[in-house]
Amino acid sequence: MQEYNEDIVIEQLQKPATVRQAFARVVEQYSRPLYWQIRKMVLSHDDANDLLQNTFLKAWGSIEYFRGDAKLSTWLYRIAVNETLTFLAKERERRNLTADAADDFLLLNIESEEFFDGNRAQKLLQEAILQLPEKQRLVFNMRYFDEMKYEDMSEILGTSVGALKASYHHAAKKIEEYLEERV
Amino acid sequence: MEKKTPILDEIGRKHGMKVPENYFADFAGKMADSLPEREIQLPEQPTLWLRVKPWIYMAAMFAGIWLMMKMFTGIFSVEKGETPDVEMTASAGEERLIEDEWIAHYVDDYTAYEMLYTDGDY
Repeated sequence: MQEYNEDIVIEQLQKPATVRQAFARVVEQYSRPLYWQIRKMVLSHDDANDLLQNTFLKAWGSIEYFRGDAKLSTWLYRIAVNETLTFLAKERERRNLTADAADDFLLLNIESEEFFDGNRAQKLLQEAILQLPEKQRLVFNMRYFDEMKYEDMSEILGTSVGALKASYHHAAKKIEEYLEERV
Repeated sequence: MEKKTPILDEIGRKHGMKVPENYFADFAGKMADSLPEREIQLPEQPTLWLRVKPWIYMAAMFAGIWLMMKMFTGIFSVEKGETPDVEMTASAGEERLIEDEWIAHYVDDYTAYEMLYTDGDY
């Protein structure tokens, strides 16, 4: 397998003859990080799998609009984040929950999840994360688990670095308080 | 890197979630197969009309302004009594004056009467 070179792949994405092959390389390269980003938000493997497929289908459907101005990863993360937030909004609507309500219903996903083998502390951490508003949850997941740079997060989420730092610190504090009460 | 709290430190960065075996390898293959066929639409090239349109509009605008200026100049000249015909009228008057002077100096009374009768005025 040839080494992945983003510049070459972007060039191939612009040409009708090579676009399909190049997109397959993109899927191989980004399916793992995008999957985990989505999974940490929805917790269920099946939902994450569906959302990941939708993300790539949306990207494929609008590939001609990707001109290489932004990074490919940023573009894909944005699509994945939008797909995830839309899914969560629909789930809340289905359950008659307000936008500010904690996504406790997702806990059921983890409790019944076949693909979760975390210990009690890890489950408690997921519970604590679910108490956060969804944007703060995104920021916390990106920073805490993936150690993503604030600059990259800023490009994906369209929020300033300062605001992201503040959001992360608030989130970490809330999680700490939640955990301290229960441990 | 942010300082973690002792509790978060204890839990670490592991989330405890896992995926089915070979999930990512299979996913890439399935995804590649499920991508619908589509014609990549290249951005449309602008037509000749689209390219020259702004210039034509601009030329039409200047032509309009020029015509309006021409029209208003004409109206204001008429108001001031400076019609373009004034010059012509003046030159016609001058011609008549010269003719009168010629008649006065070079035509005697008899010839003048004769000219009048020949024209059939009396």
